[in-house]
Amino acid sequence: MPPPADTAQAPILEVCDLSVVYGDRLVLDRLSFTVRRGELFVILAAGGGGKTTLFRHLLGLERPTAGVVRVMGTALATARGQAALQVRKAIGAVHQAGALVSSLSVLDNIRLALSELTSLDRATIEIVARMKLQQVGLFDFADYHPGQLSAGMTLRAAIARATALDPKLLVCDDIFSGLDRRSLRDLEGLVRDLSAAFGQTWVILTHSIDAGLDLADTVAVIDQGKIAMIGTPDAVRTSEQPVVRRVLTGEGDDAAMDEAELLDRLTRAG
Amino acid sequence: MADRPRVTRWLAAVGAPVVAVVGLAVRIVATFAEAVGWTLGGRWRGAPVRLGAVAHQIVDAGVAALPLTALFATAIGVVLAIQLSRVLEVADVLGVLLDGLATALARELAPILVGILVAARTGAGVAAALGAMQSGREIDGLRGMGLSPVRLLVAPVVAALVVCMPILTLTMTALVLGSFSLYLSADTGVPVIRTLVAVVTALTARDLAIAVIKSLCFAALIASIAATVGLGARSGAQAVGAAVTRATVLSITAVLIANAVITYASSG
Repeated sequence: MPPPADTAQAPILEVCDLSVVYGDRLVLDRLSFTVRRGELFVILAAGGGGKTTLFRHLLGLERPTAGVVRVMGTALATARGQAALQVRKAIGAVHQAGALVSSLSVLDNIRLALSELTSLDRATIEIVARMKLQQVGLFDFADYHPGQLSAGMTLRAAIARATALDPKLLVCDDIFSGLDRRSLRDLEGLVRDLSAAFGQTWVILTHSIDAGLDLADTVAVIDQGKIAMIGTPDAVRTSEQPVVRRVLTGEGDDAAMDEAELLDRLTRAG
Repeated sequence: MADRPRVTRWLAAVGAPVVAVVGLAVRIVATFAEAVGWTLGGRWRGAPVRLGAVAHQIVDAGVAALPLTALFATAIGVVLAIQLSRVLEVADVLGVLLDGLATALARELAPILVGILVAARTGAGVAAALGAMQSGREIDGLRGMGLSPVRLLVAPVVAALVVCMPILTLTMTALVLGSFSLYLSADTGVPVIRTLVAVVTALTARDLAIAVIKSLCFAALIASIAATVGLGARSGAQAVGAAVTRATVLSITAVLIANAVITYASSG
């Protein structure tokens, strides 16, 4: 029996027993979870905890060692042809640090998505692209190149590009790291506003505990490649499970902590 | 049994580089095949290679390379004239010399020189640009949108080099012969028109066909190698630099080997 197609009842994203092994290192260990339509689903993991690996598998950019990721019933890693392209168009991806094409202006980055993936005429593309920039507060920065923008503005531009085709699912990789407090607050607000306004499903992979817990409808905590807990933000906050506490307190975070986060934690400790 | 670990180690030491080279060769062929597939079948698949991108690459790799090609050609033509004029002082063999020069230039020297020039200029640039995009995850960004980086970024380079390299090679041939004739005329008093007529009549259609075939092969090799190495670059500025060096060395090596193979095949 094929998995259910794009229906209102079916989960928009299903991850079933996903395992990823690089060399002799088990990066993801039998992850299973589902994301409902319209949900703001946050995956919390320590730095070096496999977030970017999971992100790449959610987008179908790599084939898993075992298990399957289905978006709207389609296994993207193995799907081919028009069906795969249609599902891909329904996904917006926001990469860590934006991943905008650096040789193009912010506006051209959005135009690129629209001109390559739709049959809209040039005038309509122009209107839609500028509207998307307006949505993320970058209307006046249309002609700037990514290298001329701050980290927060780059991520907002990346969100504008990711939402250009009005996707049903947005997947974001560690978008809250490396931001100063104001940019972080602005970005959280933007995600919240867009989610509420358009009812899109957001899956955000992050190690920024506070931002993740503030935003989420549902939180999955990943520790050492395994799911430690899935629940509401309150349930995660109050959990006494040692592995959940370890992720929440940042123990075992083997990635270099960025300056803004380090300053943030030192300030709170004081 | 006692020798087994040593044999295993030897096999591993020999096998690993062989596997790496074969793997790279397969990736280069796959990149080229994908670029050709998009160029020929992209419109049918609803995702054509943009003509604007091809035109941009033709300007960048072809038109912008003309001054350097002219400089190379003039310098080489003058040097050849200086050397060969000494021979003419002791023997009146101008006809034989020009015959040999025209053939060697069209079949060997011009395609190789243009190959090296394009590998060092365009190939290195493509590897750097794609390597930086890979390092900055821009390639992942395109793939995440369902866009093929080979269609958007590699196919226009392959198409542009296929168009430009034969033209650059023929231009190089003409300019070397022109500068050679001018210098020889000034140095020895042989009329320019006599040298030029002798050279042009010495060139056969087969010489020019071999020059064009070689330059087409070199175009495919340089674009595919630069793109494959660039797209395979690891993160960081040092890795991008290493990719540029690797792409340039591999491209020039491939040009020289391919030249030898084609010369051997066409010599029968």
